[in-house]
Formats: sequence, structure tokens, C-alpha cells
Amino acid sequence: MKPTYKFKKPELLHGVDTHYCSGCGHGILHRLIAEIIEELNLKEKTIGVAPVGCAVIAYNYWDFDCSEASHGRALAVATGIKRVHPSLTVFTYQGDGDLASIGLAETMHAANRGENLTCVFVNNACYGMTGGQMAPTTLIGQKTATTPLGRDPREKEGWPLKVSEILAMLPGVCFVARSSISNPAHVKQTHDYIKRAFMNQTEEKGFSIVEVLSPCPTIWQKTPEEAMNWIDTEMTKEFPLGIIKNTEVHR
Amino acid sequence: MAKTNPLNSSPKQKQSRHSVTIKKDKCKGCKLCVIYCPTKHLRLSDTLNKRGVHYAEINETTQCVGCGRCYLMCPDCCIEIIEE
Repeated sequence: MKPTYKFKKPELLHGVDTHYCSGCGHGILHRLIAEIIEELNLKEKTIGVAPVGCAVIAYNYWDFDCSEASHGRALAVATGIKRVHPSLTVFTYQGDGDLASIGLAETMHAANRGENLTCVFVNNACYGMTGGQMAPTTLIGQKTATTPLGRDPREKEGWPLKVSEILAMLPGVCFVARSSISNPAHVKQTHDYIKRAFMNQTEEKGFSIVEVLSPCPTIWQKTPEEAMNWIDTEMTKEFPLGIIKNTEVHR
Repeated sequence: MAKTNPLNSSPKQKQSRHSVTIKKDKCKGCKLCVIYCPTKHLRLSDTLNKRGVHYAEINETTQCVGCGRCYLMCPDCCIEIIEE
């Protein structure tokens, strides 16, 4: 007899081993995106754009069409794909160094044009792949490779950049939400937000972005458990969770 | 005639049982499934897997309730739950 699965690996996720560190949040997010595309039956109608960062070879783990963009340019590439194929669902998967630092111009203008795209923004408060340098979203006092004494806004480093709140002010943006994957309840909430963002695109409502607070245990020099607790106790103080904007863009 | 409790007299409902399957060589030993399991049905093994980490294994002394928290938190998707 065939076993009935209550929880099963989504078919759109290849069974290959990922290159991510132990306890990395990318694995959970890859699974959520595969689940959502499966639920919305968008397998043959989706193109993902992978970023530069730890998730640079994300297309090796998903069983749908993907493209790769240069550092920070994922939303510019996604704009091109969407304009050529308006019937397809196009999403970008970007980290904080990619979206909020080097690609801030592309992000702001894609959002301001109100492109009908979905963006998954993975915020782990550091540059993970390059060795843990300070990112725009690094918290005040957080020690990184380039801020060994902790980020100090009165020196040269400035304050954490709240990209979601900035984007929520633009009229072309229809849905902005922030969630985390620090416990099972938040993982389910993240699933709902990302699903909403994909549905907004099929309903042609405008630009949707979901910011996900994700752990980076290796760079934070914590165990996976401590990293999850740090998101709940420290990161959510600076980056409060919830829906920031939910409207319909009038074209 | 002695009064019978209607709850007791009804035929015993079939209890659904759940079993967890773990792909042990994919496990990176992050321990998130162990932490979030409400019945302590999972634990870290004493032996090492191919990767050289203490992988998650099943603790036979407790039962799985099928809540799926381990599945939700596993970053490597090596846990699946079968309903019997």
C-alpha cells in the first residue's frame, strides 16, 4: 500500500543536497517558494531570478525556469522578462546586500514604476557569502567583519536601512510585509505572505515585496537555536513584523 | 439497568498514527527539529552520518503527533511525515 504523506517534500524542489550551512534560513525559504508555486499551479508559468549571494545557485534546487542576474540587478532583469512575457509569473529572490545595497537603484525604480513583480527579500543583517561584512540592514551594535566594535551610527556607519518601510511609501507598490522564519508559526505566516505576493501578481495588482528575517548562524557565530532566538529578541525590535502596506495600485 | 456513559459505549475510534522519516545523510545536524518537537520524538544520534555530523533520529520512547513542526523548520527538507 502506498503511504499517505501528511507532510511531504514539494515536487518542485530537487532532492539534491544544498550547499548552505547548517541551520541556514535559505533552505526553509526555498521549500516555501516551491510549495507555493505548486499550490498555485504555476509550475510551467513561472520564472525566478536568482541573486548574487549565498543563494546564487538557487536554480539548481528548484524544478522550474530560473535566470541569473548580476549583483543587485535581479529586479531589472525581472522587469525585462515580465515585459516580454507578461503572462508569466516572475519573481526575484534577493538578499539584503543584493537588494538594499548594491541594487538599491534597481529596487527603487522597479518599485516606483509599479512593475507587476514579486520580490522575496531575505534579510540576514550581514553579507553572508563574502565573509560577514556590514550590510545596510546590520543592527546598531552588531559586530561584523568590517565593524569589529559594533555598528555605531555616530561614527561612519549610519543606521539600519528599513527598505520595506521606504518602498511602502511609493505609489506603485501594492503589498509590503515583513515576517521571519524563527519558529513554526512564523514560517506559516511567511508562507501566507509570500503566497499573497504571488497571487497579487496573477491578479495584476502591482509590485509586491515580502521581507523575511532569516538566520545566518555561521556569520553571527551562534548555534542555529541561538540564531533563531536572536531574530525574535533583537532583530524584530528594529524590524517589526507584520503587513506594512496592502492596497491595489490604480493604473 | 446501570447507566452507561454514551462516550464509553460508542465504538472506539481508530486513532491515526504518524511516523517520521528522516533522510539521515542529508541532515546537517542543526537540531531545529529536535528543539521544536513538542513530544521529544526526535533526538540527535550518537553516531555520525556521511557528512560527519550527529544527525536527527527517532526517539522510540515517545510518539509522533503529526504536528509537522519538524518538517516546517527543517532547512534541508529531510523530514517527511506519513499518516497511517
